[in-house]
Amino acid sequence: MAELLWKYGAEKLHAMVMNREVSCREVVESHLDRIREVEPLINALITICHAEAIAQADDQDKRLARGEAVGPLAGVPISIKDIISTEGVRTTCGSKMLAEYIPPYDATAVRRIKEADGIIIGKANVDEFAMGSSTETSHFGPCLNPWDHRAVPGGSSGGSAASLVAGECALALAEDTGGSIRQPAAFCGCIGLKPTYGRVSRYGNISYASSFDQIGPMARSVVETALLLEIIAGRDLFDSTSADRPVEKWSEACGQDVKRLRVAILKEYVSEDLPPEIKGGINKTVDILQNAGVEISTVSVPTASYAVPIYYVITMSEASSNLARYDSILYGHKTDADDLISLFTRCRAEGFGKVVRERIMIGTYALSAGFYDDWYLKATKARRLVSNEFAQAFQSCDAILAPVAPCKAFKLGEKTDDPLAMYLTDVYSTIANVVGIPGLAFPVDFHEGLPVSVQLMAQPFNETVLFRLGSMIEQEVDIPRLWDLAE
Amino acid sequence: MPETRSSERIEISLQQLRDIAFLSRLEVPDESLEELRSDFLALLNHFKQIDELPTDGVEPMAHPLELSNVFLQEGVRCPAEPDELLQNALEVDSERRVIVPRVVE
Repeated sequence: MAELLWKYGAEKLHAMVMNREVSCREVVESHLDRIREVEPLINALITICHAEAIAQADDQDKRLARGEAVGPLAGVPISIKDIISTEGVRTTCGSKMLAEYIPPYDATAVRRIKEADGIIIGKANVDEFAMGSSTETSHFGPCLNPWDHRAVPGGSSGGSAASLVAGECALALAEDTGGSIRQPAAFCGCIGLKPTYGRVSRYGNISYASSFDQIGPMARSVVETALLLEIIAGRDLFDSTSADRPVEKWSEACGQDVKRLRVAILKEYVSEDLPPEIKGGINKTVDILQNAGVEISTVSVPTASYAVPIYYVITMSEASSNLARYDSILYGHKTDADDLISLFTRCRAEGFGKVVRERIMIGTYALSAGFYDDWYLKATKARRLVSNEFAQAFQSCDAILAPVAPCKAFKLGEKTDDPLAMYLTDVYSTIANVVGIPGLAFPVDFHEGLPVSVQLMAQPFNETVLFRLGSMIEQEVDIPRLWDLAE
Repeated sequence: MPETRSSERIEISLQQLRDIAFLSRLEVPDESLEELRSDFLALLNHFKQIDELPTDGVEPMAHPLELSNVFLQEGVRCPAEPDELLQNALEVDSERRVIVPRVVE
């Protein structure tokens, strides 16, 4: 029994633990065995929390034996994207700059997971400071796609998606700035939700672009994605941009009737230029929706085509400001210098990788005197235009359907020498962050051994409709688990 | 007066890059500047397509939520012990002072 536990989902593991069919210790040891087996192949975890996970499991087993209450995530191993702070466990952001950094506090989302008795099994590999679309810029080496080790897992939360799909954990906590939850979920074939901006506290999420960053859940089923959102969502006094909205029972929305819901295909993102397998995924989703009684239409948002330049100009500007804090004095990469300015410039040049350095510099340029109006201000005005058009589009539909990315998982190294080509893999995912709306990515097909996924987006704070639609579609598609194919 | 710039390609000099590097507090060796310029220009010339959007009179959107100021009750909190907060520091002396290179002569 114990050797199979890593294959089970979060709901089943929790139920087995509560029914005393297995101990939390057995669940954790099974996952640690699985990590030992697959981690050399995929490099999904930067830090494995072996001792901490065993200690958490033993504590829960003792409480269960005494008949005490445990939380709704008891017995459930979770990986945490290594850009989200964990007290006492190093949080590297995939960077040499923070390679030895140990946060003295937990992110609010992590604290809520711990209070729910979720077991933190590891810190997941990530593009450096979440700046990337393939998890190849990590200082700790690239993460590989569990389905095809020659392919990338997507990014920046590639380690989160890969660890989940490979069975190293049952749930994953990730973060999405321009597609960083949805695109790796799509490339690896799991479920990923970018919640509405403000739905989940960003306290303890190490900032890249503060008006875009949003922590969210990943899981191997839609209902488990909803369950994790229920744990982490809600107002937090440590983050003044967290929204004062009630935490809903999103798991109960899963399986609810979808008849007469209205889904619109985003015209600008579903063109004839799409690769046939990606277009096929959209068509298959439309067929499933229509058969379920969902009304299908097409909606046009002309400014959606400008999402990538708007996104990059603003996020690089915000990054140049957010990453100004890394000066090696209170924390960060240490180096020697004779004077303060040399200490700053050297530790930052040594501690940051090429992509991060370039984004800081372009952001500095976009914010500098003489260029601010043409770049940062222009982009924030353009952001308003896109936001207004999306609000208008949602007048006639409940959700918008689009691809997650213009391709399946691509090959390692294929785009690392061409930053623009890498940025254009975000062409359909940045829009949800530009506008601040929720987006749910989920697999609908397989093509030549790799998952094909789509995303649904909804109005701010209407994750419910995404869970209703996503859970229905999930029942109609036959997506294998990694281990199904291995057998 | 329209806000859009001319359709000419953006250019950037090596000295401008050196200035931006200094503002960014990043050491950039001279031998890296040409590659940096190439990446800069490829990206900026793609990004400048936002000039096509008519934004005269549009209110900038700095944030997706329309938030007014958020006020909290004042109070003393200590989220972590001083020693914990200093454990990641560059160098700390016996009186918990952080040591940095000399700032004044």
